[in-house]
Amino acid sequence: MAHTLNNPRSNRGTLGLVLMLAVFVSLLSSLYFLGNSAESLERFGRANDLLLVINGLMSVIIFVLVTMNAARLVRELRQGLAGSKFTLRLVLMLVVMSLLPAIIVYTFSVRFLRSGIDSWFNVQIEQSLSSALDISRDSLAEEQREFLRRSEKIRVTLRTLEAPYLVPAMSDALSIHGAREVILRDQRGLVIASASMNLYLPQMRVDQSLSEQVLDGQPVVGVVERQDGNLDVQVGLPFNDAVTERKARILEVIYPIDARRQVLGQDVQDTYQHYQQLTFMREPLKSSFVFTLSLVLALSALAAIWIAFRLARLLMRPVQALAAGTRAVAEGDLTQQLPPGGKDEFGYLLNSFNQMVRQLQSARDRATLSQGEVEQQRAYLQAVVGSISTGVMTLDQTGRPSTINNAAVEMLGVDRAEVLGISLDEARERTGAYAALAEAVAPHLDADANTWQEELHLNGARGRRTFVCRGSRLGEVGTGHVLVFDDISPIIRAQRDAAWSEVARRLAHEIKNPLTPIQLSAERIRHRYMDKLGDDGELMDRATRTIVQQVESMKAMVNAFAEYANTPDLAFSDLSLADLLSDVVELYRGLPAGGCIGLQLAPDVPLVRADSGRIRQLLHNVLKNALEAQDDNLQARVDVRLQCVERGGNSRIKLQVRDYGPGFPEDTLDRVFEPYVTSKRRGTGLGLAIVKQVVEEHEGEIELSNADDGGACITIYLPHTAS
Amino acid sequence: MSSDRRLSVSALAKRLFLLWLLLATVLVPLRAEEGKVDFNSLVSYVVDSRVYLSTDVSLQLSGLARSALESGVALEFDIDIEIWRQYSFWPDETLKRYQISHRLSYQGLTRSYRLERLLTGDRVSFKKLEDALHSMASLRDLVLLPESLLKPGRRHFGRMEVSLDIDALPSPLRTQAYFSRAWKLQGGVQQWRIR
Repeated sequence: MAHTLNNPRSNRGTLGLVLMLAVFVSLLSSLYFLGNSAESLERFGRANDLLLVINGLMSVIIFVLVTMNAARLVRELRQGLAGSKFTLRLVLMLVVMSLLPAIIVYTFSVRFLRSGIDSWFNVQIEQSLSSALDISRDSLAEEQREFLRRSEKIRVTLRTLEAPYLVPAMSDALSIHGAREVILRDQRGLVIASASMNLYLPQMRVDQSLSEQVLDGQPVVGVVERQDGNLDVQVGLPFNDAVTERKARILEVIYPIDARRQVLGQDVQDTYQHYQQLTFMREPLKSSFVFTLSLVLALSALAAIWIAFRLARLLMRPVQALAAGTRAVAEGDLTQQLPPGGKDEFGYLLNSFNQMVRQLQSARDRATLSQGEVEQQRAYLQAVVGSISTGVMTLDQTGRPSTINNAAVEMLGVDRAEVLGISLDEARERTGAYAALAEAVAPHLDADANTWQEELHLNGARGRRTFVCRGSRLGEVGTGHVLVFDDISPIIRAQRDAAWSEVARRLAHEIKNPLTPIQLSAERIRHRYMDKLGDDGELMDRATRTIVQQVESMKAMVNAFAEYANTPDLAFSDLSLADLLSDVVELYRGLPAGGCIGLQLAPDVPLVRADSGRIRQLLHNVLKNALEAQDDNLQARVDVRLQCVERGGNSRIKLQVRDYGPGFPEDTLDRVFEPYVTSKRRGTGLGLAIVKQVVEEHEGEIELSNADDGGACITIYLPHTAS
Repeated sequence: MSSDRRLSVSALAKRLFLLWLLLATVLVPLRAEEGKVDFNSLVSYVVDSRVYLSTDVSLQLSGLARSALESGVALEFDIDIEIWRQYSFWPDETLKRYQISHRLSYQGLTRSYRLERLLTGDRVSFKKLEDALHSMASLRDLVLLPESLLKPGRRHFGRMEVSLDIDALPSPLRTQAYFSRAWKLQGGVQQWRIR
């Protein structure tokens, strides 16, 4: 089931756009305010604080964002994340591209700002303003001198007057000399007498520095500011009363300054001081402008870096998605689908990738299906090859077995892993059936013939066996061979048995028929002529007896052959082999030549489906063969063991009869079951042949071998009812 | 992990230092002569169930501040007075708080210093700057609070601070004044116990 790779789209994008817009507006506003405020100090004062706060705040925010982005990029670089190096290059490129013009603009802006502020100032203007202020001061000083002269006259007038006339004279002086107030104070500055143009009382105390100076005998003239902001000239004179000769008094006269002159002087002063103030603040103003502009540059730079990060990530997003998708495909995950792209080249690339992955997945599904079918067919063929009785083995181009089926393993009596591990050349140096097979096959592998066939005689775990081995070259030269071999030993043996059966049948027919007339003739001759012959009668008696005995013997032999040749109708029934064996052994124990028969019966031996008569004959033949194999029957010893065992994956009843005689001759070991093959002086050589015949009638197996410590061992495996 | 964090912290500190260095380069030299305030006498006393305060304070401006004043820049001074009651295991309780603000300007025409009390608008001219500053910072018989507000057995304190109001400076100077000591008044704070 296909699923789409995660594409984190959240409110972060909207937030980023809003922030970007805020930065842009902030930058534009800053530049606008800077451009306007450079025209005047007042505008700058109003805008500067706002600019500093806004730009500082924005710079901090952008700085944090840039730091976070940089840290993330460093982390991605360390992790080797796809696209991180390209992002770094892109960021660096964008930063350089944006910063270079910004720095150039910044540099020229600083120059323009400095020159713009410097243009506010002019030496001639400053000199003119200073001169104007000096003129105003001189004018004011001239007026003060005039007021001092007038005050001197007032003092002269007042000195000659008695106390009661002082106040009227002071009032007259107001109008005569244009004074605003005339005040006479004592040495502590307290008012003694006064006259004023105003309604309010004069200031009770005079300035201490003025009184001290006056009391030292020096006249004082100065300008004082009234509460309403207007200026007055204040004249202080030491006053010695000529009438009372009192000393240490102060005559204080206050004159209003001419209003027009005062306004003009004030204007000059304000203009001059404003200019002075500007001059004083010229450098701080430049620094502040440069600082604000630098802050704007820093904000621009940080914003450029931040936008570069965002832009790079935006561009790298489809690339990273492609990288992740490619990695997933490389790891075998074909269910990944990238988020659909836009209508640009990246979108086309993403859509093409998705289409490619879908096609790959479809192709893989088909391949998996085909592979499954092939696997099924292979398993089927393997099962067929594994279950057939023909041995099959394939060799690669180096002659090393690549496959071998169960039948071949069983036939050769080898271990599968061992066979697959060694080549035929290596196997030739070993012993056993596989080595013999390798020895026989090797010349054919080197030959040019595509197919070949050869009959092989191999000594395996089951004795000497005859195989028909066919070999074929697989495909072209150098791709290997297939060996197919069949164990034809049972066929050969069956053919031989059939031949012997035919011989036995003919013998019985051709020999047995004349025997009866011979025996009857011999008995008649003996009966008729023995009494007539006299002394020769004895000879006659021996001769006819010998004839009859030999005929009986030949009859017995012919009957035995007939019995071997004729397969009787079998009557199968479930019987206990243990009980049958016990009965038969018991019979032998009662006979004089019974020897010593040891019987070992395993408990719970299952029943067998068998013909009791034939099985009894089998047991007799086996025991008789074992006893007759030992010269001294009285000392003969036979061990009989009956048990249930596992053989070839099946449960079988195992009957083992072992004697302690000379054993089978090695040269007849593979032909013991054939008729007339016997190592005993007596016997027809049919006993074991019949045993084998009975075993095969009951679908059993028979094996014989010689024990290491002497004696022969016959082992019979029979199926039981439970199997 | 922790080493990375330490590294980033040191890198951040380095960046802050560089920023500070940039500011220091752009702005005027930071180390400059400071203004000075001397409290010659400070007396609080009770007359007619009122607590009064009288001070004799000499104030001296730095060369830069004096130049600014004589160049026409008006300076504003704040006198902040606070009276509080102290508790041993409880936050202090403020009883009264005053602020007296003055504006000092130079009159080029008359070569005098005009001192204006901002609250009342009263103006006084002085020939000498020292007289103007002394007149501004020295208080005579200022009524602090009724005596009834002073609780017997409790400790009461007063604090007077004379400072130059940097925020009232023109903007270009203000930016510098935040970083320069020339616009600070050393020893401008005096604390006393009201008995």
